[in-house]
Amino acid sequence: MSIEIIDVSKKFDTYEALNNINLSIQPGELTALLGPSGSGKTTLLRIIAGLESADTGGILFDGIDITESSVRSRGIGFVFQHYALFKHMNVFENVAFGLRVKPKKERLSEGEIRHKVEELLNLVQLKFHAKSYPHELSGGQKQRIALVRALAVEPKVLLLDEPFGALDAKVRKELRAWLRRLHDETGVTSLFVTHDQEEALEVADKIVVMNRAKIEQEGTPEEVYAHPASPFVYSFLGEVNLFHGRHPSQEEGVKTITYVRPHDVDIYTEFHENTIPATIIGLRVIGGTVRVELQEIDGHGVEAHISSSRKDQLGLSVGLKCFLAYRNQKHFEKNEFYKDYSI
Amino acid sequence: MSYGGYKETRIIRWSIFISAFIFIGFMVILPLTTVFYFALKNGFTVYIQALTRPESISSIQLTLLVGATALTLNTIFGIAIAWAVSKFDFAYKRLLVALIDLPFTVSPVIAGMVFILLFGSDGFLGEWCINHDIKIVFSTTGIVLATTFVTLPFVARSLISLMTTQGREEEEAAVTLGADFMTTFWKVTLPSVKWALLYGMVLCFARAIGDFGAVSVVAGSMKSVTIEIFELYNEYLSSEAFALASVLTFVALVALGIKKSIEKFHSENGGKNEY
Amino acid sequence: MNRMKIAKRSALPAFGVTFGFGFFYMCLLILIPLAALAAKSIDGGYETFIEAAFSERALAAYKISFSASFFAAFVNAAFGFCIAWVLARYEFFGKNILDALVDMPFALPTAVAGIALTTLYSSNGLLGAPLETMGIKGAFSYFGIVVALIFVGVPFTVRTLVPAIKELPKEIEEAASTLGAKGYQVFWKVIIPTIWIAWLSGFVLSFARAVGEYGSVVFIAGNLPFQTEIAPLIIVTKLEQYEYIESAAIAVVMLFVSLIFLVLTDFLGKKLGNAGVNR
Repeated sequence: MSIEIIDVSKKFDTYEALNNINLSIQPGELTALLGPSGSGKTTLLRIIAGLESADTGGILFDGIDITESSVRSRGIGFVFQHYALFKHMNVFENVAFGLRVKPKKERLSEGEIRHKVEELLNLVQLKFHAKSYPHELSGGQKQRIALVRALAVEPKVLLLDEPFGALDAKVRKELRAWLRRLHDETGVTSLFVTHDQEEALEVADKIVVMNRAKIEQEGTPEEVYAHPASPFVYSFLGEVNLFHGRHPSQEEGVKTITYVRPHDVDIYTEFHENTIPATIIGLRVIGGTVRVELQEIDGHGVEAHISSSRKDQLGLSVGLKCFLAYRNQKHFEKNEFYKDYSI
Repeated sequence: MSYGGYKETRIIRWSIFISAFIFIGFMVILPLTTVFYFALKNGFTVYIQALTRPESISSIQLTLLVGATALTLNTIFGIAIAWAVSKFDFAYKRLLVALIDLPFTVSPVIAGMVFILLFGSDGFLGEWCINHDIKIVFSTTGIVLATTFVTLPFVARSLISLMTTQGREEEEAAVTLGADFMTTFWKVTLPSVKWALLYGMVLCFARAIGDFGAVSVVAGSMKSVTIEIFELYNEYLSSEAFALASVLTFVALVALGIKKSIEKFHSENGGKNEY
Repeated sequence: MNRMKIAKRSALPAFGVTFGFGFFYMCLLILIPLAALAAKSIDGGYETFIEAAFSERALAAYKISFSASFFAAFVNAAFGFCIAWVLARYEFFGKNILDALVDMPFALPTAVAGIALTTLYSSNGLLGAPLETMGIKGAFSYFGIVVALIFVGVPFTVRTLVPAIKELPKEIEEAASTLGAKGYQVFWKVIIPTIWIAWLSGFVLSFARAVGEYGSVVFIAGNLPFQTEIAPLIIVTKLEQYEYIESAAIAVVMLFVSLIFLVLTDFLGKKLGNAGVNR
């Protein structure tokens, strides 16, 4: 199902949560709403779900206006950050809940419900926990149950609010891959909120970067990472080196800032055209990559990420003089920078 | 508020509100109004006269004396037992804490009679009392004992629940810095539990001066305010009875006011102290 | 350091003196007196005890005490839910006053409540007169006992339910509605099952309180044996007639019931505490 968000704004008292948001989501896409806390991403998700109402604007599902529809009639599945499992029900009953509350004429028979819930529990490999209660499960297990509980009613849209936010790093990584697989299998249009750029880049088909109640950029992970539309997106999606006033064709009076990703810094031991002399002041090996801390001749600090084989090849060590070349530089005007830079 | 959570329909909401207010109106507001209405029905002069009768004054004196004694005893006990329970681990601690609550569940009548069975002329220690010329039952001592029994849990409960959640770290820090028990208690523990202590003391005192069941059993010919009210009412002297009752009601209202402001401004208690 | 043996590893001082004093105090005030009560009740032998504790008059009194307490607790559970719901979920004018009034029966001496209720419900009272035209005798009747017991039990359900309703996580209600549940389904299938232990424990507390109540009932009850005589009143009556053994026997029965309530409320309280841990 496609989702169309038209001119949606929302204020909480004086606090502006969403400012004139327009967004369209294609059927079957897995979209990430990415942004720092307070950027409005969760509010947008809750408005799509019908858990919150927009002050202005509307939402269309498959071209039909559902702005005034109740949560129940929207046919969405919602996954909460803290699972929101019913703690007085066991796992089976939690998953069956949505099937059991359907009006009598739409409701499946007890046997069909049983069959369907068991199938879903198989899907998340938790069928042996059917009789367990939520407090007996780990965080990862709870979130998987919350997910299949939402899927049980066969929603047309799956909405996930920071689904992995409450889990520890390792479980989070596992569940990410699992969510991607699940999405590929079910093909249900999905939208998830996250503040973790790695999560968004890894899982989503499309990323919508939000900041201060507005959409900064939308596009595929490659697009937003390689071609950030604003300094905010650039710095929010990965590590950067900043240089002031380095624009090659710098106009008089316009101050610029140049961004370079650490892995776009090349290190040479000999002078080349367009390289800048620097000294290595620190080396840190993290698995296959090496983080090299450097200082340019004018004292400006730079970080470079290179492979460890490259480091050995060059024979880098602390104190060594070398030469740096910057690839894929991105220049932004300074006032633009101050206007938008905020994490 | 979002409308995603549960919201009842308008009709149901109004029914709930109306039921709540009607119930409180009939069960609480009306009886309260009755007390003041009948106390002042025959005018203010009669009201003052009723309160200044020698019997009224002596009953108020007795009740204040009993209330103050029970309060003092139970405060000392409450602090001691709360310290032991919250700062130390020992066997059967849960049982001990449950026992502290016992006077809440025991009928006040039983609270009074146990002292008759112990110290009455026919009681286990009755003969010993007579031989040593100690009068406990049908005396102020008996009333104090019964009242203390009934109000024993208040201070202890209030302090235990707070001091347990506060843990031991601050006291341990004080001890490592060389403080002794009294210093630790006065300078570290007490400042952080003073509102809970006051809370317990207010409830204890309010309950102590209002007790009827326990006191009526052991009082004999002595008259606390509640007994005086009982007797006046049975003699159909209802405006005198209500005049005295209005004094107790006033004290109860003040106690309630203090209790509510402590709950509101010092949420140490988390509003979870009942009784 | 010998006396510190009872307490396990703690660097803090004064366990001995505080524990010793507290324990001594409790023995003196609670344990020894209650032991004396138990001893007195079997002073005349086992058969006398049974005879006294379960005489027809005593049985009738238990029945009145327990049934009236049950009705009162039931009424309080129903209206207490309304009050708790309103206090926990809404902001409205006079909320603080309503909140304070709920606690009034804790603070108001039972004797005062007794004379006020009796005056209100007697045949020429404000509520008693209209009741009488409807054929209900307000004061000096079983009805009166229930009224007094309702009064003393008002705060319990409210005080246990308000925190439970407040702590209901908003997300579980939202989750239920995203799964398609209608309002009444959210209420019965999600809200009630989550708070029913708190509700039950409020019911038990007000029931327990009502069973032991004496002060307010003695005014309004009429106190006729077999009709409007509650168990605590028999204890007092027998005591005044110097029938100590009979009196003690009935008191022991009541004490035993109190202990059951104490265990039950402790158990429910523990369940309540656990319920909050896992969301």
